[in-house]
Amino acid sequence: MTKKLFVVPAFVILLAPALAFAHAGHEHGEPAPAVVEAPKPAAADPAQTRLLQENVALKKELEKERLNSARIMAEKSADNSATRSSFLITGLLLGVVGLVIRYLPGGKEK
Amino acid sequence: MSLLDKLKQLDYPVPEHSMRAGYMLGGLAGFIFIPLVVSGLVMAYYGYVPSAAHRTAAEMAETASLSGIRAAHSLAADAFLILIFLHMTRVVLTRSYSGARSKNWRSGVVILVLSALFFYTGTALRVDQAGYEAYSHFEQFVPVNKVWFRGFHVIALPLLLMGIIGVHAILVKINKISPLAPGHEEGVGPQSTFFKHMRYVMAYGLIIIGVIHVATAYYTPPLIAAPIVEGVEWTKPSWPFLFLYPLDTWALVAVPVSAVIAMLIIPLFVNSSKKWDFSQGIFFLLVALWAGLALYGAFIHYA
Repeated sequence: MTKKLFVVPAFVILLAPALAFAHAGHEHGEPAPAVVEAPKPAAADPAQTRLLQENVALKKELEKERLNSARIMAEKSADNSATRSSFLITGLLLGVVGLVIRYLPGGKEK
Repeated sequence: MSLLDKLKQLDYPVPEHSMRAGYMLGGLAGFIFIPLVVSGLVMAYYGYVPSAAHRTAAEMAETASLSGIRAAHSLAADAFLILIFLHMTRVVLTRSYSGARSKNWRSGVVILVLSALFFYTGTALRVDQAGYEAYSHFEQFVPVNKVWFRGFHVIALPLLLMGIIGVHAILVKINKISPLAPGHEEGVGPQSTFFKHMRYVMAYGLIIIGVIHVATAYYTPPLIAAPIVEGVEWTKPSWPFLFLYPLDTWALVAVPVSAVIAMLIIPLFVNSSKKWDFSQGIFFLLVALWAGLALYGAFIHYA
């Protein structure tokens, strides 16, 4: 009984951080402020309209660049992962060949 | 009966060949599971908030001590799966799944499946582009939110795995350590004991842990810095799952499920009177398919 008194709390304390799923939906920090739409320009000033159009075009360009950069980073990581995987799998196959030679029926194992 | 007496009961005689490295692979996998759990618990203490998970992982990667623990966890996971794989290969070569030992084999297949799921869910917890893609594939078939998914990795799977490893160990005790391959007569030399076998397992295990410890100084597990882009597939799965990369949607489930069923029925085809039997053929065919698909997956690229 005394043993259980120590073992159970010790087990719970050790696993406590892993129980974070109990906080589903609860996150620290302030909630994000609601997005307020910017007021539309009242008059169709040609200079202002041009500036707005340029702004939209630049934002699109920036987003494209962001996606392109994310894609390059992801693909580079995929290439690195594929190279590492190839080495590991080849090594593992060599290990299998080693075991086959070692345990070949009628082989060295006596 | 005191604890010491109970422990002494475990020091039962085992065959001399159990001192060979090939017969320690399973024990070594079990030994490596310990640092895997410990390093995982240390990382679990760091906390988890889904919306900030990428930042948390990045902070871990940038903090010297946590980065080392993260690397050790990743390398120990690799070592754990490699040792299980080599252990299964040795078991197949010595056909140690005949008769009552078929239960050992089947519980071992369950350990493999749980370990693979463990590895997979761990990859998805990176919460970068690769992690997101792994998670979204899982979510396609099992709708689960990220918090429960994390709970699956840090609570459900470790406990399930510990339980089934325990069952596997009890079955090894009941059915005894596997004999030499058919056709190889047991030597008449002195028998050894289980504690001596375990001392060797621990010695080899500490060597592996030492190698992992040194490797952490040179290895950083991947973490893509860019924010996640949804709805694309730019990365590739980790090595145990790379075989899934060339497969289409339905095959992502059908192929692994068929492979697991094939592994479960392996003991039905054992025939000790033949030099090689069909049971071994099934296993090596599965290995060839897995390695072939994975190596093919390493070279191809989807647009």
